[in-house]
Amino acid sequence: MEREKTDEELLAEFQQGDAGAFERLLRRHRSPLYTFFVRMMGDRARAEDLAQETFLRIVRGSAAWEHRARFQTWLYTIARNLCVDAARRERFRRAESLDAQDGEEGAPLVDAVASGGAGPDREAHSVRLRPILQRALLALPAEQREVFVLREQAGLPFKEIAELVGANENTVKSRMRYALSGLRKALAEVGVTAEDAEPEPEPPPGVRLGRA
Amino acid sequence: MNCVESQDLLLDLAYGELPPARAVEVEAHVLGCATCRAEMAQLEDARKAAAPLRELEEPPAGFDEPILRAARAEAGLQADGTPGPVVEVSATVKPLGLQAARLDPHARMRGGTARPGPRWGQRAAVFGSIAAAAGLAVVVTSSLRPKHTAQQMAEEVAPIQVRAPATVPISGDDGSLAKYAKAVSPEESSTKRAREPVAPPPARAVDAAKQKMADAPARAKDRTALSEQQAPAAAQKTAPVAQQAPAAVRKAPAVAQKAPAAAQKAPIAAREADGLIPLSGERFRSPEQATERPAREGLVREYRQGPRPDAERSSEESKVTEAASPGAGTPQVAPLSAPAAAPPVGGRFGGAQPGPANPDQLEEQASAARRGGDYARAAALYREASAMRRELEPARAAWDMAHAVECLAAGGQVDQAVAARRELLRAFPGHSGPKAAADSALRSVRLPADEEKPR
Repeated sequence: MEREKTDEELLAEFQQGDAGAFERLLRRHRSPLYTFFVRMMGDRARAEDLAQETFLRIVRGSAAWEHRARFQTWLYTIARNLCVDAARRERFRRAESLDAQDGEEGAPLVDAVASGGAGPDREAHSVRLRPILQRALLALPAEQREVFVLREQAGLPFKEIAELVGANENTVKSRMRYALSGLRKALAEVGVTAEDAEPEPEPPPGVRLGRA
Repeated sequence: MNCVESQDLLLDLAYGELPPARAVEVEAHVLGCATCRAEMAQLEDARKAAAPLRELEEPPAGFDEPILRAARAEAGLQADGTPGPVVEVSATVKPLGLQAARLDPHARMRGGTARPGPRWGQRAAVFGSIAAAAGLAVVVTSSLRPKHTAQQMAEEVAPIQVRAPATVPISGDDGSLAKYAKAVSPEESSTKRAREPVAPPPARAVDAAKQKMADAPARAKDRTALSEQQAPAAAQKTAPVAQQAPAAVRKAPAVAQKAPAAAQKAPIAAREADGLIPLSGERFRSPEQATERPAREGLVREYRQGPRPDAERSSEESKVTEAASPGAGTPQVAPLSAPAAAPPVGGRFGGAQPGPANPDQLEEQASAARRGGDYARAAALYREASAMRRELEPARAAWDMAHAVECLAAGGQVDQAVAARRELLRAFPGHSGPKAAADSALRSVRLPADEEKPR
């Protein structure tokens, strides 16, 4: 069987005018990127807008893309910048901080629950927990949240995250530790433990990491 | 391994980022150390607890459509068979343009960042090319056989060059000359040229020729004489166009006088330049061209690579050029050839590159700064690159400017971003791609003010 083409190869083909190559890239990254925004923003409609905008920027910037740059890093750099912009606008709009965990923040999360598919117990279980987790995630400071999501969900290594957010690797890891410990505490406060979150020791097969 | 070391690496271990040997080491320590074991257990607990957040969510139906539409449009621009670099370059360069496209339809891609100009420009260019080529260049083009190596191309370019004169605009180009002259010192550029003598890859060859062209128009008269010997019939039709040129020549007398001498001293540069110039001259000789005036004017304007006010600036800037290159004689050409030759050496191919201000390098630094989140610096670098490219490569300059807008917007400097966008529209009217990019960068930034977010 033929080797799966890398992102970079596909983008190079797109640069040569092959729109199909871009379609494959899109198929590969659409869900992870969309999920990235859902986790970061806690709002599906905005996640959709921002994920679309990210891909549009990729399209527009493709001609200038350099082959030695890693596609995924580029993709999430744009995505992360859009998040930062969005957060800034948000602050502008309502003087409260992004981290506010009460009030309207709840609404989109309910929406998030409803979208989870039916399935085996484990899946139903995680569907039940996800809004709680999502809320805890949104309660984290933005710089911890982005590191957490980029590592856990997008699957970027710490080194790339450091480059992407413009901090050194130790700072990034320290944010990650704070994020994990913050999440753990938030869950403990509502009585959820690791065992609740994941009844089986191995990650469920339904869990797909952002990156192969 | 001690605890301090180990604890630094626990996260890397948990996420599988350690090389195997190192992972074994850390694991061994963790097993024997209660503190580290507890720490590791906490990390793993937290990761397990957060597992549901790793699950992917599917974007709603209809998500892909606008993206794919944009991708197809972009691909169409790049792959609809129109000649890439040449068209963008100046829409000018007739048979050579076609020839270059045939040689390597994707030359632009290999070269890197050059972007196609607006479609109408391409069409006009192609049409102009065909018309002109049909009129006169049959002899010229038929002597060319498509070959696919850069070297051969460069060799083939040479013969065409000498055949016909440059009758093309002159004024604006001096500005770029001066800019590049400032950017690269003569000594530097001549050594660079020595190191890198003959054959830039096709896209670069075109770029190179284009840049050489900047000084070539000044030699228009010279060249016209040549063509009169070689193509008497054509020469008559050239005359009216040649008359357009002197006005500009007068404005840059220094260049006009020095350029021929410089051309002799720098035969490669001169030959490459010639390769383009004669051909553009032919455009004016083709009978079809008489009826194609609007298109031609468009071409000429693009060819000029800059707004008209440059004509006024040219004499002043040619002085700057002289001042910047006191060596006399060669300097007029040397600064030009350097930026043209430089990109294959360094730029996106990653080689070391001397000289502080090469636009390719600036773009690269800008892009790195942007990736690193230093938007202000990225924007400043893009603007600088844009200024350098403005005369010779307006399309790329426009994109640089658009990137500057994006960076400013991303960095939250909204007012500056808006100002930069205004500058983009003013300096590069008709470049719709960059404009759209700038608009889109600002669309999101302006949102809070007007709240008109789609959906």
